[in-house]
Amino acid sequence: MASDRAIGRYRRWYGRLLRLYPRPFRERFAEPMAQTFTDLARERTDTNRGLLGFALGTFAETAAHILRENMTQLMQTKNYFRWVLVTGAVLAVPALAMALDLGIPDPSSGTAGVNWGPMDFAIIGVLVLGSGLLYEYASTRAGTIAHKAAAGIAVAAGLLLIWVNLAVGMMDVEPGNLMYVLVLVVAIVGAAIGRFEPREASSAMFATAGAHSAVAVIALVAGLGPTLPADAFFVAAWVASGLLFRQASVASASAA
Amino acid sequence: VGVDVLCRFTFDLTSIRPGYSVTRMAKSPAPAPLTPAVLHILLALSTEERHGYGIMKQVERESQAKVKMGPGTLYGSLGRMMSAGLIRESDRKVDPAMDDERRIYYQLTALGRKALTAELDRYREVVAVAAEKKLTRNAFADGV
Repeated sequence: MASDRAIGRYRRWYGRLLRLYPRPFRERFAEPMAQTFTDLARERTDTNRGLLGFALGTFAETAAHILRENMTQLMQTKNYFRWVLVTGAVLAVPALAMALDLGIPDPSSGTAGVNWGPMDFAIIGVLVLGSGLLYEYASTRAGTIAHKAAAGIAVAAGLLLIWVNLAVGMMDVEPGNLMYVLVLVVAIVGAAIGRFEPREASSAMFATAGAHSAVAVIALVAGLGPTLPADAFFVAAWVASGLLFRQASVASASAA
Repeated sequence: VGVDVLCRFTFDLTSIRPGYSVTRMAKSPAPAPLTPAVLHILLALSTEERHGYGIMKQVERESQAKVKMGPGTLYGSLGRMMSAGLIRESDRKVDPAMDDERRIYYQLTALGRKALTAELDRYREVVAVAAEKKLTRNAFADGV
């Protein structure tokens, strides 16, 4: 029947959404939640009501709770506070340098040394804290040290790439630096689609290394700046992360 | 201030009672109040064990369709209630009235019954106080 096919399709999508729950919650409730979703969908079709509105509403409600459960788990580990401290420590360095008038004078900008505005502190604060929380989120899905290390390297490489581009730019020509945004998009979208599961994340990291290599070649050929050493470092980081994710994937497969 | 906000946010997220965390709840069942979702789930399970969809429908019936839970709210609450020891999974798996798919049924524990009784007693006391004060449904209709 057409309605059964539609319910099956929506249930598959719902099942994919449920994979975003933290692992303990997912293992305990994903199956009964999918069953309840099917029950509700059948109730709709039995009373000749449409499925689209129901599906969108349920997806939105569940997505909000996925965010909540992930936040709850993150907060319960108390590791978030570690990242609040790390962020504070990172921001304290330029703050102290400004307060004590330290740093190297920059004649081109006319500043006497470190000169961060409120927006600089806000952006870097959000970046560092966000990266830390992203790492904690990825770690909650990790079962091995290799998995955690892979996530840590990927998040650190992403953070460093954003920071370098915001601070000085990898390339001399400004629009060229936007190509690195694409590299990050490949990494983030790939990891999100794979839900930080090791096998999918491994492919995402290798794809990111490929995208970054392509940007490096373009920069080299077009003479956009001496980016090769930095690009080589980042490509190595993406590849290392990919290899570690692969190792974690093999370990979890053999454990299963 | 930021840490304080984060901590309060944490307790809000993990609570089955406003201001009470799951871990604190498990050690000592504080008297009240329960969150509305938890109270309705306890009420739904007070007469018989039910699966997720059954709980949803029972809550809807008992609240005259004023309370409708989505799967996220329901299973999030069930998870916290199980951690707090208010409910547990039952061994029953099949609902003959629906289909032959495996379902997880939930039932009240002794602690859950105790929490529900305490909460209902609290409501009765509140209603008694309101009655003493002669506060009817239209008591404030004139804006006083």
